[in-house]
Amino acid sequence: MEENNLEQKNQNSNRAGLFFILFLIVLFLFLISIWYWWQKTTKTIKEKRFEPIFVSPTTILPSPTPIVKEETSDDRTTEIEKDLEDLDLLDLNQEFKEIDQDLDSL
Amino acid sequence: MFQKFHMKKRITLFVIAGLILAINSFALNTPYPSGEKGMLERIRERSNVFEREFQKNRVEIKKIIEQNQVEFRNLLKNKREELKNKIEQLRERLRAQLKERIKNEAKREIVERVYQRINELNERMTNHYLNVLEKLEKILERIESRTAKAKLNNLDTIKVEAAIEEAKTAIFKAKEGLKTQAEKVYQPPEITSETTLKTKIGLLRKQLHDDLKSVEKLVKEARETVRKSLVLLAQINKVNEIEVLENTSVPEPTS
Repeated sequence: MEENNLEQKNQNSNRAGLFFILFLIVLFLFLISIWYWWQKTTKTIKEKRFEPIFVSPTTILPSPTPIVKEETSDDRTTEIEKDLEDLDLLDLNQEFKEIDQDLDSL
Repeated sequence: MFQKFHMKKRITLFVIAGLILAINSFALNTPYPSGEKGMLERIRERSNVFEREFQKNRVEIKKIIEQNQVEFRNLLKNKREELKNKIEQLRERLRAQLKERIKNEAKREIVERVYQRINELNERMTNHYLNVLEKLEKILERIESRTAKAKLNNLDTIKVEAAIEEAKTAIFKAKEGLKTQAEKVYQPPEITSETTLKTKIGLLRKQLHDDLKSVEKLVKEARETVRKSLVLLAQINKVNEIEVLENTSVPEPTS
């Protein structure tokens, strides 16, 4: 009688364990499906967000590479020399002309 | 078994900590892209710099130069604003003295006008010299860029590099001199009598002239050092024909 009871108990505990494992598997599959659904939804949203929009012909879009070709050619010595020659330091005495005229009339 | 697991865990942690430290020390040794670094300094100890990186650095350097120039201008502007009140007080004092001691109204007006012109001329000329120095800084950047290209192409640039350093120092000195000049307030002379009026105002004029002449000398020296570096650069054979290599390498296909 006691042996039967013990056997019954063992069978019950085995079944509970089996159910627990099955529950975990179901839970795992459920989570996986939620994750999959989430990924799919967010991907669609992202794709929709970056759909090409109408751009008026006057709009200037920023270039992905801000490096302009002009930057490469401004360091030739001939051009630099020209800019250096164009630097004017002004004639200091000429700038004092008005003051000097006033002083003379004192 | 348990001890072995702990040992492995400790080793892993040690390796991770070591990696973090190594990355940090590498980051510390990497040159910080600050405003003080010109192109030559950036390419130093580099055997190869491709066009894209080179141009990126140039854009960055130009931006830093402009930022520094704006900061310097703002500094002078703020200082001048502070001085305006002081100059106005001195003008009032001069006006009072003139009214009290000089009977000739025309002469009083002339002296007042000369004093005003002296302060205005100081501001105008220091602004002009600052413009020149800013242009010289930009020109020097272009010289440095071409020198860096020559250096990357294994040409001898030692003399030009030395001249560029000299020019940088000269521009710095000129800017310091200019700052001192821009912050100057010219004190009007003590008015005692009509007979000494011309001499005293004449002395004030001479003082401004001498001061501006000193700044002009510094600016001229800066221009000459920039010119010198340009002349040395132009002496390098076919220096205008060389460019930085374009990165044409394509990623190797993975098997």
